Amino acid sequence: MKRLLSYILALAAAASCVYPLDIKTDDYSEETLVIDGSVIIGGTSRVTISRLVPLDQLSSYSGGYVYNALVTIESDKGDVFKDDTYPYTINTYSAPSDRSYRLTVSYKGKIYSSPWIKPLPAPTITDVEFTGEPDRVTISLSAKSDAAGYSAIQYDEIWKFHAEYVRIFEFNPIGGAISAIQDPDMSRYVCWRKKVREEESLLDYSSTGGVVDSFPFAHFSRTNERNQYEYNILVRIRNLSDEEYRYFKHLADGTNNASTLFSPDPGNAETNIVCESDPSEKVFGYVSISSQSYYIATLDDKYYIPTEPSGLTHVDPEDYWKLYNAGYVPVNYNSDGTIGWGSARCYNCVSDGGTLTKPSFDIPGAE
Amino acid sequence: MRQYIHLVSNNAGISPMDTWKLSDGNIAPTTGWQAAAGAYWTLLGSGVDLSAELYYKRSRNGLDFKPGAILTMNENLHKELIPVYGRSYGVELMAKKTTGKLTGWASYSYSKAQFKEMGDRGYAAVAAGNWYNTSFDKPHEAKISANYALTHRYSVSMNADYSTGRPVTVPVGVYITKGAVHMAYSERNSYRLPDYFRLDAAINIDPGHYKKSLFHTTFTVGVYNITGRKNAYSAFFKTDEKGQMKGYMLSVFATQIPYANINILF
Repeated sequence: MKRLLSYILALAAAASCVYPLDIKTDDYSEETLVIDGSVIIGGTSRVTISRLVPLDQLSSYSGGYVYNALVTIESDKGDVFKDDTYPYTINTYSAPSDRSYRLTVSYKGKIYSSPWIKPLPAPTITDVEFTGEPDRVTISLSAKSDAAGYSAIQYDEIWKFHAEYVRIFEFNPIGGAISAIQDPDMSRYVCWRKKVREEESLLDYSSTGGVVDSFPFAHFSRTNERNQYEYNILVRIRNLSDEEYRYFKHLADGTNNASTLFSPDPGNAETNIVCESDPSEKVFGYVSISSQSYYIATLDDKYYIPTEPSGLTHVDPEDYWKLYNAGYVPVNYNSDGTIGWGSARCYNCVSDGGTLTKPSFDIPGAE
Repeated sequence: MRQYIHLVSNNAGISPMDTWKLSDGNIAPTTGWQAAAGAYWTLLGSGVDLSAELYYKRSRNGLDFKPGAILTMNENLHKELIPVYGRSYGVELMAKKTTGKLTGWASYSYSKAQFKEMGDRGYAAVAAGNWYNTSFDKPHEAKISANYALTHRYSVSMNADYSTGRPVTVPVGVYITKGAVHMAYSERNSYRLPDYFRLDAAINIDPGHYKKSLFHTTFTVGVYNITGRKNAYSAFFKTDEKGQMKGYMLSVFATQIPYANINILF
């Protein structure tokens, strides 16, 4: 009987195949708007307006950001903040936190609006810590919140790094002597870089009473240029309502669990934007209105790759690989047989987007 | 009518899956009523029976799920569910012939099965709070089963089965939100899989009619899905190596399947 069942199953599998399925769709036009708003009360608000791309127009699509809309943030007490220039960035530092707000977008004679939302108070970040592992540095935060069980974390980074091929010491393969290069011209070889991340990480501490301890949210490789001189991170955190958390989770599940047993049932994330003149018009995106807090931390000294050959006065020529393990690479070969070494993974910072002056964080309220 | 067990079907992915959920403190039992009427008559002298039935059914506290719900191994499944009104109605026609060389039956039904959210979730409501097709809504279904006796020993039989394709929700576009590209979907169950059709044929052999035999043996040799139609069992979508979203369907027994039966009657 088992054998018979096996044959039947084998036959069913052999006769089962996957074939292309062509379903013509015409639900949405390329004019369908996607409004993505992050209104920060007491900070800087950003709104992105783009268009949905129908599947049958993907190949001919040439980009679709909307540049000529009027974006307005208004409170129930009459405070108004506006911007009509792309990118829509509005300083809402002076917006009082005890009022309800909504975002409206005026575009092609239509008004698109979010509901009135009273911003949740921001959680408090109690600590940001770095943890060194053999191959990477992990960044974690601890926080507490009295208002909600869900938060979104975002962070900006500023770090100082070497330029391309600067020599900091020389290694003589005959004998293994190491000698520092005195006063190398570092001025044009050291740069700063700033990276602002738009993505947000979700934090669910609904089951721990609004307290989270050492939640890892970012990491970078130990051979990364962030390890060279100085690394600073600005961590922002804001609370999410249950509805907003669900929106984010829907997007994350759709991306992370696609084509798996845990695939979410197909459906659009529940937007909170409607077209006032035509409520039946489909709009995508989500407008969040919240307060946020932030925390700045600097990488502990012990994680940086030494820029001086400190502790290295001699390496047996047979053990030159130890220099690689210490984070260095050979950068030039001298006529006298010595080899100049520098930190690995350096870049020409200016040509690669670095700056010679240290940038500053866009701390809420700063112009 | 009251029902304390609920079927929640996940139609995503290559293998649709059903989850059964009992009523509890969060999930009320489904209640409803149904009315049906039918007419039956026999055409004298022809051996043909005819029937026609109408039905209409309404229910409340049925279950459907929020867009994007994960139904698999979800401990808080009730948070993903929404109570719905249900309505279904239709007509079923049937003709049956039981005498003569040609016997068999033919049926046709027109039916609708739809849901509508009970609560007012505003802009988040499925299908904007209007009636929408359930995933088992198949308006047209027709079946024919016929057997023709060539002789006392040999007969041929045929089955034909047609139904409207099952409703599905499909991706219709992409958009960027929160810094990443995401899929936009159609309204729930607003598209359909290709229609289902299958034709089977067989030859039946009845070698002996011995009254005193302990058992009676017949043989059948036939072909299942004689047209080799690739009927869709499920549909799924994924991105190909060029980054283009493509639709695919899984088809089971997507070719002719020959078979042979031995029937032993005691």
